[in-house]
Amino acid sequence: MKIISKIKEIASMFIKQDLSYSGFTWASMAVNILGIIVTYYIWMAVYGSKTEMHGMSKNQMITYIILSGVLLSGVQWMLNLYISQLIQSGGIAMELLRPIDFQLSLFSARLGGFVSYTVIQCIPVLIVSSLIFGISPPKSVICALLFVISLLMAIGITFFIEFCVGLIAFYTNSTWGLQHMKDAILFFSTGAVIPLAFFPGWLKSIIVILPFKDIVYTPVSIYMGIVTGEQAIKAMFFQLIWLILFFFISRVFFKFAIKKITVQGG
Amino acid sequence: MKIIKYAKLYIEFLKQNIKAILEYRADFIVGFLSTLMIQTSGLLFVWIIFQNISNIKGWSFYEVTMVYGMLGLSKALFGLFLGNLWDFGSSIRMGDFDRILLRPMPPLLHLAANKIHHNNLGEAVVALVVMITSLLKLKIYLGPTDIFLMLLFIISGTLIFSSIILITATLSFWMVNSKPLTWAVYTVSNFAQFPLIIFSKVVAVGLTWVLPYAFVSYYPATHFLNKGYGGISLLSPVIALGLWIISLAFWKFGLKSYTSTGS
Repeated sequence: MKIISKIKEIASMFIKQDLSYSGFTWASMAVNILGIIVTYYIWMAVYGSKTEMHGMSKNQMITYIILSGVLLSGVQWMLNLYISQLIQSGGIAMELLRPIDFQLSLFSARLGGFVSYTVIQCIPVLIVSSLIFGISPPKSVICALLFVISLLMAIGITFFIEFCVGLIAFYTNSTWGLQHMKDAILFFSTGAVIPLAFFPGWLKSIIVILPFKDIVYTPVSIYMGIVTGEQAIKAMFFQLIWLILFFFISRVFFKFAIKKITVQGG
Repeated sequence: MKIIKYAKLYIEFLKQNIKAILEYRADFIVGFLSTLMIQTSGLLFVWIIFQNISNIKGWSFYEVTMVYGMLGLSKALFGLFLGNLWDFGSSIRMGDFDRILLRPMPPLLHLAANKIHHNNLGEAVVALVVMITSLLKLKIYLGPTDIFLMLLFIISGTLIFSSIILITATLSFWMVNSKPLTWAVYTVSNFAQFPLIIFSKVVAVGLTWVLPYAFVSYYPATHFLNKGYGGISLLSPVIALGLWIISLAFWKFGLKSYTSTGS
């Protein structure tokens, strides 16, 4: 039980920290909405007078764009920037001395961030863009339930990916560059701006193998009922496998990278 | 001549910057690749869309990428030379800006010369390649006048970006941190990566008269692509110059009313 109170403590600390930078909260909400609006106009121009493309109606496309736009920013937490800064400032030495596993401590912080960032920032963006463009409800109650589970796994996968990206700061000082590389890869490989059905065949088969689609495409397509029943369960099963895999990758990478710190001596 | 003296100083700073880049080569490569990848992923988005349709509202793939490239190049050049404006707010808060004020050099020039944001080189390279490819694929060959106009448009675009960001950065003289605002205003330029014609009237008016990013990409591109609006494109240098004068005046006004943090 002691561990739970530690988690609670760290989480509430990060909620306060996030909420104290209100300027950035407003800005990232604006940036998120702007991104959704740009994507909206492009897709509406693509549809033109067509009512359906690749089995998706115009209205479904709008729902897809809004939901995936919100999700892409909501599942991320810029954990990589936080870790990179800890590494570059040497603050990581202090973190390692704390009587709690480093990754667990960050996970607790992420739980706090779920309240102060994911909920407080994404819900307004979702509401505003839904009011502007109109969003469809989930296909069914079961779809909604599966969506929530899938979303939580997506947040988990992103957490471990960001953790690994952050650790690369042991090898380069270009934190900013790593952040942009992450952005560039996630932008299209998650399916956040383009549903998988629109990808040309060969590219689609690459995207399907990669884990990134599970960050946005999988939860959104479950919500919308693009994948249902057995297919949905299968998709979530693969999500779970990626989640576990990334958990181990991040642990191993951390063990390996941390040796560098002893070399530097501090 | 003051200008020659400042130019020499700037080159001196540039040399030091290049030394730093050569020292941290891995960081340079990561930074270079990162902006290159951002631009490429945006282009990939456009390319995938054009795998599904042949044109968007009468614009072909290479016509769209021409607009995309022109915005990218001006944006990259702004970042390269004036990227330091991003951290202007924090340099005021940390008191670093006071040091700059003590130097015998215009503060804005000093700020610009302090750090060349070499990361943006990747962005510039992609944008340039995209523009050239688009023109070649569309079989548009630029004569001497058009090449001159192209240079003028790119400089104008860079000035438009610089002016808008200088104005939001200058607000840091009074605000605790204007970076979030700068970020939001900068993001609006994403609209202008695409032909204005696909957006609603409100957005089009906004991008023309409020945050005139359309003069960076869309209007100049229409000149070379023969898409109407060619005449309006000639307004681009005028607007750029006007905005630059306004933003410089605002910057100087900010400087005058600046009282240090005291630390």
